[in-house]
Amino acid sequence: MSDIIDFRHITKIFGAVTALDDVSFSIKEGSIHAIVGENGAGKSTLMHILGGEYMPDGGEVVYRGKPVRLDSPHAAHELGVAVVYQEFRLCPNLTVTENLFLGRERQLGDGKVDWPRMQTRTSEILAGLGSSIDPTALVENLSIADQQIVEIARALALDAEVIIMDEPTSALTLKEAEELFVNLKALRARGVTILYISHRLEEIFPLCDRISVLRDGRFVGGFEIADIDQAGVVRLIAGGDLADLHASEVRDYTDRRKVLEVNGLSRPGCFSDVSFALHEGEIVGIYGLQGSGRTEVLETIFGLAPEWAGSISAFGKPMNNRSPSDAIRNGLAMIPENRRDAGIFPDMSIMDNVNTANAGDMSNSAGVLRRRFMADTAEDFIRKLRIKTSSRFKKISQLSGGNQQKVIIARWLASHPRIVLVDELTRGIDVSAKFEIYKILKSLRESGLSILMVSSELAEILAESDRILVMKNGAMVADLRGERRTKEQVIRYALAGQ
Amino acid sequence: MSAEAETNVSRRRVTFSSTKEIGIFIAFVVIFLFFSVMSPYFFNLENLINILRQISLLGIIAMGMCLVIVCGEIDLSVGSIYGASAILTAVMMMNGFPIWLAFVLGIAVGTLFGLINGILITYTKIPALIVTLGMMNVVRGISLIISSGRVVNISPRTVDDPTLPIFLFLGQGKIAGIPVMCLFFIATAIGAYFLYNRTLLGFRMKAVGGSARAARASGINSNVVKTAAFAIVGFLSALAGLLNIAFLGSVQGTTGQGMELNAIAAVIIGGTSLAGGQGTIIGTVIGVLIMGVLNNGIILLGISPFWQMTIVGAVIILAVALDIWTRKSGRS
Repeated sequence: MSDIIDFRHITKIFGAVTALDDVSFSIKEGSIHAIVGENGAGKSTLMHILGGEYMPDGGEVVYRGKPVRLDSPHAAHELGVAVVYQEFRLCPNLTVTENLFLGRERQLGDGKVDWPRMQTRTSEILAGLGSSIDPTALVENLSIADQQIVEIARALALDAEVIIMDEPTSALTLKEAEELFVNLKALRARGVTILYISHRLEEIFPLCDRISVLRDGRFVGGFEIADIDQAGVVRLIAGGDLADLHASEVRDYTDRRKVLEVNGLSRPGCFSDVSFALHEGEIVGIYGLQGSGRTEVLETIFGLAPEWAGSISAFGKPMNNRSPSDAIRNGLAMIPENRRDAGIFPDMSIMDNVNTANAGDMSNSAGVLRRRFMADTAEDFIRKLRIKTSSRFKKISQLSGGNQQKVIIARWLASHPRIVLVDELTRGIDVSAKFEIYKILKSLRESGLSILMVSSELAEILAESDRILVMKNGAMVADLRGERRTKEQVIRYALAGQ
Repeated sequence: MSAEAETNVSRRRVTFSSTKEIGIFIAFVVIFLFFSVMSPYFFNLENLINILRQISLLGIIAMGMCLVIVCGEIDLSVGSIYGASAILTAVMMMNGFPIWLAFVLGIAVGTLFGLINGILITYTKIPALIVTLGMMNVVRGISLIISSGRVVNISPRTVDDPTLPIFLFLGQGKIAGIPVMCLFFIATAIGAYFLYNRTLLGFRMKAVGGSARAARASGINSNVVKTAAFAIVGFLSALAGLLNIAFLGSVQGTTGQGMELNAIAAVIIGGTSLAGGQGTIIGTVIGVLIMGVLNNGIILLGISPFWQMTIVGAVIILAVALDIWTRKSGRS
């Protein structure tokens, strides 16, 4: 078998973050090739480059021996590369056939739109995948597994030679996943090359021929699947070098008063039977892969979930937050995952952004704003948190990501919380700003705040938290402290669950 | 440090809070000068007061519309509420209600229509465009049913209440040469400015319109905030409707048709974003003035009044195009 794709020195930089750093490896034609790595290792970026969504800043993609320029998804399609994204890109309001030939409606009809012919072709492709989906069915009426088949069928309708599957089993049941594997193997038998991006080592070993491991944007190893075992892959993903970076700063607070206690917390479709406690002055990290339910746990505590079961208590008293305003009243604050959508008010000034969660203090009993107070609060935090700005009247959207996040932190400190929930606090923030934010975090615990921190960044979790809770598939699988609070342990639990 | 903060606050108090308002103000001045030069009848006190009187009612409604648009919503029912509350009040007066009671009830009914709009939109999640389009027709229908399609007249012959002249004074009277109606507009504008810039409610309208998710995460109940905005615009529409009947002494089922689009146009010309989250009361006032000056100037120049709509329409598109263009060039 010859190489169909050759990545040569691929580098991709986003602002201050190097997502891919001189990545080189090749993929053999007609193989199923797994790409693994922890969150943020660069898997998705590489996939987006191959799919024509991003252009690399350095290096080149070589396809069948020729360097190619993939400047749009269309260019990738022309070449024969199709991506099946985790979030499907189908039009739910159109039929299966219409989706398969979207944008290429004239392809089969010699320049005319020939629906009967497209219908027939769709049936053929679906039959080849062992599926009995009706080509005239609306996509929105199909199950997730069937929608995935339609995505694969669309790739085949494009005559794709390479199909990239991004976390294909994350939304499938075990049985559906088995059917998918059968299909993928059949495609391989027909000569199609499959790039299989997944966290789930247990599926990769029986399915794939080769495996490439990425860590922090670098290629750290490629193997025939027979030459390596699961433990070896975990070691590579984790990296041997930085086991316990800041172990000296870690403190044991578990003998202190419990400020937050969660018992048997469940939310349908997200997580079940989650229990843990947060102690006074403690920073507890929650690690888990995308979709493990971490964010949903925080949302539920903060009153953002429509329905849930179990019990939550704060400061020894039961707490039932039906909305964020309840949660704020109960001394909670939450810095959400998606700063742009759920954090900032883009058209408002820094001053206004700082004061939004602060209703009690910022207005008098008649509802008139106390503008001096708002100004003083903003100036105070601009100084204390070193927010880089020329004036408090500047719009928040004109600040860098790190400074925006500091404004959000200021907003929540201004509301005088006792427990702070943070979700991906430093996502998309450059390194120096990250360290400043970590410093702020540490200073908060000195003032007696307790912090529950969700993060996808292992290094961050390891360096900043006293105790690490690990979630997998909606369950809390480990509470790591002391000796067991190591990178290998965290990854093992997050990937394997035991 | 605090002295500097002090001056910053006070400086903002007297100047326009953004370059946007300066842009729209310059546009207004240009249009104003144009008509002053082109027509000898334009720039005299009588005509200027006339313009002010003509725009007052639209202006009162536009103040409320601005708040609704800041919340990221829209209200198409204001013209119907304007007509219906006036008709209801007139009919009550003619049927022996004391004028003050009819007045209060008329305003209350307008506010209630606004409340219904707000509650339907926020709790059923039906888009504001649909709800207020429906209400526009429902309320218009109520007007036509009550008036049976006829003109309703308010005069000493039909209303037996000694306070009638006081009521008519609100629409027809002048204080120190300024029509009372204009004083209502000025008071409304000051009130709206205060509400928008100085109160928690106004602050939250901006927040809700700017990012619904961030507002929710900040503990803001956007349903309450939006419903308040709709109630306010309902209240102001009813107030304008009552001033209108006090001015004309009559009202009919079709009164106020098209008012909603003029109010939206004034807000947009003034530089408020239809996307919500940012608006300006001063800009809206200038937007109302521009519409008034355009309508007046076109007539004075002897241009066919049929051109009015065309020209105002073009100004709306031009204003938004300029706004998008300046924002783009400001970013790069």
